[in-house]
Amino acid sequence: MATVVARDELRKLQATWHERPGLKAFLTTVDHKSIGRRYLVTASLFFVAAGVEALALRTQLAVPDAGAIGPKAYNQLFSMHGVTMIFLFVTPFLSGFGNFIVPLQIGARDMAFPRMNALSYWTYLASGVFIYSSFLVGEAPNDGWFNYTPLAEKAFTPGLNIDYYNLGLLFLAISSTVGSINFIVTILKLRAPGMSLNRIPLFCWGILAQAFSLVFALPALSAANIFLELQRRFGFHFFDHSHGGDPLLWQHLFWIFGHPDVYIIFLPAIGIVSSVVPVFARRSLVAHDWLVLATVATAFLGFGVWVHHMFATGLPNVTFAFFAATSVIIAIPSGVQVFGWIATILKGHPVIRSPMLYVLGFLVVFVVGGVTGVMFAAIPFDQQVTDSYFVVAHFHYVLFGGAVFPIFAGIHYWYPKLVGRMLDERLATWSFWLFFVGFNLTFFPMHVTGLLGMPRRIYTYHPGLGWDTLNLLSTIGAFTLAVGILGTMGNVLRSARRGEPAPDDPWGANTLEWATSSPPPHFNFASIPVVRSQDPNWDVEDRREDRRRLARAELTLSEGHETIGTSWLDGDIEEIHESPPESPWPLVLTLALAWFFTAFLTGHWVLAAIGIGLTTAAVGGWNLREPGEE
Amino acid sequence: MSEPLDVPVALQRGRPVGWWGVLLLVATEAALFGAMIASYFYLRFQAVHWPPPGVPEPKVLVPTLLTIVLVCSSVPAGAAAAAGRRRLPGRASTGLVTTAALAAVYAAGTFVLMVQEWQDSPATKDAYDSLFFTIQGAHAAHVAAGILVNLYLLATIARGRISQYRMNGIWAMSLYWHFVNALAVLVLLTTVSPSL
Repeated sequence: MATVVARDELRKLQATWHERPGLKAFLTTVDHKSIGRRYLVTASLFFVAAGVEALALRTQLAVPDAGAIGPKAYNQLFSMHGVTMIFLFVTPFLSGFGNFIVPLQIGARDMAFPRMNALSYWTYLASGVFIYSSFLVGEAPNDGWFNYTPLAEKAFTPGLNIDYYNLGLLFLAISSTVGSINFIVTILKLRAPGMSLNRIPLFCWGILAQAFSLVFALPALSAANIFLELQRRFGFHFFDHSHGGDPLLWQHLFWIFGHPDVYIIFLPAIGIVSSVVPVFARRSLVAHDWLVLATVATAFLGFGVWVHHMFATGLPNVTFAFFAATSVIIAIPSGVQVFGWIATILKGHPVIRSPMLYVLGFLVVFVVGGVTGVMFAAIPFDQQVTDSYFVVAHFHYVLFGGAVFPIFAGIHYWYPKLVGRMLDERLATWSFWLFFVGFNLTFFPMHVTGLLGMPRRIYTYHPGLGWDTLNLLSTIGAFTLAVGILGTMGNVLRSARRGEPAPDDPWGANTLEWATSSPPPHFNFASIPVVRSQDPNWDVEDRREDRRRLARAELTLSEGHETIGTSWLDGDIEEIHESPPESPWPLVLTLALAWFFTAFLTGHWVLAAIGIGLTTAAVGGWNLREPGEE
Repeated sequence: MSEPLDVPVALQRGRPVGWWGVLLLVATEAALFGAMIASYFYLRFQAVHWPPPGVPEPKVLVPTLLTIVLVCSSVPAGAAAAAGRRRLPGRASTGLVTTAALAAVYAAGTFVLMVQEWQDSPATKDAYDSLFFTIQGAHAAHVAAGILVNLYLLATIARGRISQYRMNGIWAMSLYWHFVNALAVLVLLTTVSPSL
């Protein structure tokens, strides 16, 4: 009898949530898993683009007085490398994991706003294509990823380069804002019954802290982009001294966003580390609550350190002293986290598999980056090495070490859940070592080239300055790193067809995404799981009870697109949350926005006005019919 | 662990997720205006004269009266939300219309004022004017967007029934109006500050 009920419930869920494959479903899907996979694939393509740009730069710098790339192309390539890595690869890739994993980890069936989720992806894709289309006209952003004025003003960069930058980032801001709000509401309101705030998995905490940071930090960048575009296009004045403006205003606005952005990148990434460490150390995370507090503290403190990017701008010493102090203080929560992970590994029974290899690599590399970070808080030292290759070495150790290593850990960890097959462990190990050695060979020598006085952002250098061998080593390292990355990509592609089928929980992991099949069904969980600890998938009896609940048709919510809404603090059941099925409107709205931004870029004001009209109409169309009616 | 779970069917105890979404939208918008207003004062405290010589001081009386009119719209906006929760389409419609009307008075008045001020001293003249018009214009755009959404909501409940979905919309919009109105006070205090 029980089996019959369960089968009946599963059939109903399948009928409700199933999306028939085809072009229509491709364009209209709101399934968080499809959107998550799309984020991951699209961001990977941008990663390849950024990698190719980096290799071009390293080829040019391999030997002195090289002529592979001229200064004009070099400026565009290094600017786009930064823009791509920061805005189009790392953050969206982490959003991809967030999209796929967060609803599963909290035991929900979808995000709080599934259509907004689709909008967030489509606008990301469109803004990325928009920014990259600048290469077609040979006018890609060329003033660095932080785009300082006065260089970025019309008088000094007259082409469309900076307009692509401003408008592209404003377009992308829509995606990031919508995505962040969605993550926050999802994590606060759609958790499984019993998942009180202290039981939220640390990856979700990372995403939550990131989303809050984005909500409050991104507007500073948007304001700066709006100001600069108004100045460039319509002759307003914000950053020019001759009319009462100030170029440093750009730097303040940019870094009020830019430094929290470091943590926006870093926090979900270390959430991955905190997911992987307990699973492969075979024990609960040591100091779990402290790690949560450290995550939140880092996000807060991240808003109080931006002037340390401006130590060479001649601001008052009192200001510098304050920001130097906060820059030292922010090392404390990072230290707490590092010690928490190390203690977990030491107290547990570590099993070294590919996800753990990347985590161990991360720990080594991130600590090096952290140490040079603390050095920068010493103002005289900062002023000595600012804008040199020492800075390039430092931030690659923190950002590549702090984000890309964990991202690769995440790829190896969640691949079975994403694809339903296992990666080739041997190839993964080889790829890791090439990745690790290549990374260090590329960036460690840069500390020395920087101390020897090599400035960043120069397209070539003369022989005999003591930089030749170090630069050659960095270039060899970059290609080694690229081979390591290609190894992983090859593994990912090959294993999708030939990998061993993955069981539901190949790692014996502690979080709920492993309590469902690999890959999960459209409805994620047949009966919404009920949670009683921080490691719900290790509570074997509770998971058995989920299956018994299915047989009793409890918490199956099989009557529609439904999931459970819970209270934000205690995770008590509040409501049955109905979520909308697939919709064409997110894509339509994105196309309307793309119309507007393109018309604005090319200075067709009537068409831009029509774009605003189309956008308004698309918002109207979106809400015309109620989710239940569609 | 085998006790049956009490699922309150169709009972909504918390605020709808749409309300939470608008709360966060409001938070990020507040940060946007925070950045713009901070930029205003950043440049102001570096300037010897603010507004610069040759630029008239901002008007105080009419913008203040207009802001008072706008702030009053919080009352009908709140009433619309309360009526929406009780599924009373007539009262909700009245609230939505009154809010939109008060906001329209503000928007029209602000538009006329901005046109006059532009003729006296356009945004392209100097940083003071650029910030004045950008902040004022950004706020006015928010009011205009609010009016559009209110009219839209009005049309959707014209059939005389307020569904859960529309109720959530009205509830969330009232939150938006409270925000836009509070922001109006901040924008007013910022833009008239040189005359105070």
